[in-house]
Amino acid sequence: MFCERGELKTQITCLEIILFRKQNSFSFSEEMSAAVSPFPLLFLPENALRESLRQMDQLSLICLTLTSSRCKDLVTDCEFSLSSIKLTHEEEFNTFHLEFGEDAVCLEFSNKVSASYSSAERFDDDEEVVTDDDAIEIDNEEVANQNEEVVTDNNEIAIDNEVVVTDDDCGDFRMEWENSFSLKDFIKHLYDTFLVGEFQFHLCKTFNPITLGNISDDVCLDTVMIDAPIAIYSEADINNFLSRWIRTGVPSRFSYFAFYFPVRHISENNILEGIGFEIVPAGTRREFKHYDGDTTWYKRFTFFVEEGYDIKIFDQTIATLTFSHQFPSLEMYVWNKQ
Amino acid sequence: MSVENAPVVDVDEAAIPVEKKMYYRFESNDKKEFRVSELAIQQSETLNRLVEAMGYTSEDVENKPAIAIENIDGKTLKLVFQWCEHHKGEAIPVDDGSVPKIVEIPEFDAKLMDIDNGLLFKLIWAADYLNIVQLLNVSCKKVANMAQGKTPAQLRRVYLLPSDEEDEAAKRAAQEAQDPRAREVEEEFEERKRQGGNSFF
Repeated sequence: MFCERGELKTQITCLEIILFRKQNSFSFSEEMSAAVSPFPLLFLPENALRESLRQMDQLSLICLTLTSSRCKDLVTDCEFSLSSIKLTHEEEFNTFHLEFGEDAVCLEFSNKVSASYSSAERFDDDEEVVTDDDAIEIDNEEVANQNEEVVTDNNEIAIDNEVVVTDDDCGDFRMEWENSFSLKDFIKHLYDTFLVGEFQFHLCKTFNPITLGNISDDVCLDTVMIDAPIAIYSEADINNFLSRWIRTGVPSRFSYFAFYFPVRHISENNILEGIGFEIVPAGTRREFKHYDGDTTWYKRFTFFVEEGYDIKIFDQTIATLTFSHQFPSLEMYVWNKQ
Repeated sequence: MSVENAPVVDVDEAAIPVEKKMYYRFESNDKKEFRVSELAIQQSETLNRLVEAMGYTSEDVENKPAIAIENIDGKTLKLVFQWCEHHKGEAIPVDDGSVPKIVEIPEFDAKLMDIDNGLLFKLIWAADYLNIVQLLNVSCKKVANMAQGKTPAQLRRVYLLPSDEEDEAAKRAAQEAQDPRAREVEEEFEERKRQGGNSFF
């Protein structure tokens, strides 16, 4: 279900983020686990530095921007764009899946935090636990990119090949955040650093509470999806929901609804009882775009709506209801939200 | 006339003029000399312009001193010229400005760059200085690949990235080195603030 900002309420506790990549998109190679000498990236000539940044994948760039202000400014200055960011919340695991382009990362917001952060240590369940709450505040307005001049040091430096970096950690990593680094901070960081065209925010398996009410002006949420497989609704419940939506138009940004009935047969008459509708003329074919998929990774789909019932709400917004009896289900498409 | 019926002519192969390949001589800053073909030099915009401007003949190349490349050492220059010889005659890629830039590292280049990061660093500087576009592309790709799968903390170690605090300390140190008086003034100002003074002057 796509809902209006402000409808869902929650507070996300987010003191720590653990990062790991989707398994099929990343695996540690033997080469990576071998000891390698460090490479003084920032001492490359400006042209080569920019080339190196341009050839990094998006997740690497994001991680680089999190290392220091100087690196963040470097990347910001290059004005890289992030393709279609999708953030999916899975309540069951308290994880946020972030996708951009072909890359994906899982962000785990945990209640646990150590008294002092150290770099790239394995997550340790026995560490001191401190909790804190941080409501998500997501804003609508893109933050102006920082256009600070990039200063690179072109002086050649001596490289100490004896300094060895060993990548023996594999699996889940703790990212080195500030203690107060929250989801809001992370999203704002992305908007501060990259040119972000589109942002999707999905909630999975939850009616709990993500506070979208105090969304401010940094990020525009395009879609919110709620998947509630445990909840049981009757035909009367759906009828009640449709009646209220027609009367009030709330949620106002609501654009798509799919409901799968856990019964063998559904009655269209019961669901449409008391609701004014027009039967969609035969031969009508309308295109509807939305995001759907499994509960973790969402892909864009286009539907062609060719039958069903058109209903109107008080402000003349039209929605189409379609029923399937093979696998009893109801889908609702709201047209003016396209 | 068919091919079979064409008259057979005896040819004195020695009499056919063969275009002689010209090999330029370059010298690194540690006095190592390299002979590089004219075609290979075309991969480097800098060297290509240089030899064009010099207008050397084959005799000049042999008789005059090797062209000195002052800021690249022999080990690095050897890699550069190996790369140029292997890729001689290939078109120089044009940058389309795409991000992320897709670059494949050919097998030969991968083997060539199977070197320690110190030498890779010098190779990139050389490729940049000599303006060898494709060598710069593949070497930067190797650098970019180092970031794959790394957390920010690991990136700090892999790329020797200073933290904000270290950057700040380095900046202060640089300022101090440049103007010791400025630091004294700053300390005096801080001291007066601690003592409750509102005005510095």
